[in-house]
Amino acid sequence: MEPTALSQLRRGALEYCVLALLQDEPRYSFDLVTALGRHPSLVTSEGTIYPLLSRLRKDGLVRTEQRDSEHGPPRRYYQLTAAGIRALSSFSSEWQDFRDAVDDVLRKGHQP
Amino acid sequence: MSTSPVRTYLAELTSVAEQRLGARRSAELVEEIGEHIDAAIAAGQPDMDVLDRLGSPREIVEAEVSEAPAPQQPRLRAQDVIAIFLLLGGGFIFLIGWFIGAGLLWISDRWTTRDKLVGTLLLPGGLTGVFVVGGMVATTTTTVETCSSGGVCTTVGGDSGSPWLGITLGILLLVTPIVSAVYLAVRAKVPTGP
Repeated sequence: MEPTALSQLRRGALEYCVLALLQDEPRYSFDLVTALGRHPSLVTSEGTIYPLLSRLRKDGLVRTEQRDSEHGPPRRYYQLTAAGIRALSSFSSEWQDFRDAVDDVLRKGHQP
Repeated sequence: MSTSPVRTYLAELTSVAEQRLGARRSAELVEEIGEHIDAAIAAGQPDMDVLDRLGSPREIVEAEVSEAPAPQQPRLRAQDVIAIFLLLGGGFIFLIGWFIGAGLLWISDRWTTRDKLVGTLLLPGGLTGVFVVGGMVATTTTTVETCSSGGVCTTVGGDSGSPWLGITLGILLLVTPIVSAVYLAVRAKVPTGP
C-alpha cells in the first residue's frame, strides 16, 4: 500500500483507538502510549501520540488529572469525557459497517 | 536521572519545538516526552530503544503542527472587497478604476466564472452609467431658447419623449450595479480542494 493511503487510514482510526483504550478506566499517559505502540501498523513513532492526546484534550474528548505516584513525581492520567464516550460509540458502530463493506469488496475482488 | 543521549534528545526537541510551537505548548510537550522517557527507563528499557521508539524530535513536532486546526480563511479578503467597490464606483476614477476592479474580480479565486460574468456585465462602468444616461436624458429634454437683437427667438431642443423612460432607465442603472455588488459579496466562497 502506498505510504500516504496507510497514513490516512491510520490517522483517521488512531484517535478512536485512544478513546477505546480509555473506555474502561483512566490510564497513565505512558501506559496508554505503550499499549498503542505494541501495534506497529497503528503507531510508527510513540512520541507522535502526545500531540494527538493534546488535541483530544482541546476537543473535549478526554480530560487529564494529576495523581500522586508512589515512586517519583505526580503522573498525568487520561480519561474519557461524556463527549468522548459518545464519539467512541458512534465510531464503533460506523467502523463495523465500514470494515465489513471493505472486507466484502476486497473478497469479491479476488473472485474470478 | 537522564543520560547523555536523553539530554541531547530533549535539547533538540526543545529547540525544534520552540521554533514551531508557542512557548506554553513547547514546554508542555517537552515535559510530556521527558516524563515518558523517565517512566520507560524506570521500567528497565534501554535509553536508546526508548528514544528510537519515540521517533525523532522533528517528527514529534511535525505531528503537533499537523494536529493544529487549519487557520480560517476569510471569505472576502481585502483585495476582493476593493474589487467590489471599484466595480461599483471605480468608473468615477477616470473609468480606469472600474477596469482595475474587473481585473481583481477575474484573478480572484473567490468566485465562479458565472459570478465573474455577472459582476462584469451588470453593469460595465458600475454607477457611472447613471450619470452618463442622466446627462443624455437632460440634453434631449432641455429646451434652449435664444433671441436675437431683433426680437426673433429660436427654440432648440425639446421634449423627445416621455420623461418616465429616462427615469426608469436611471433607476435600473442605479440599482443594477448595487445588486451586482451585493450578489458578489454574498456569493464569495473560500475555495475547497486543489
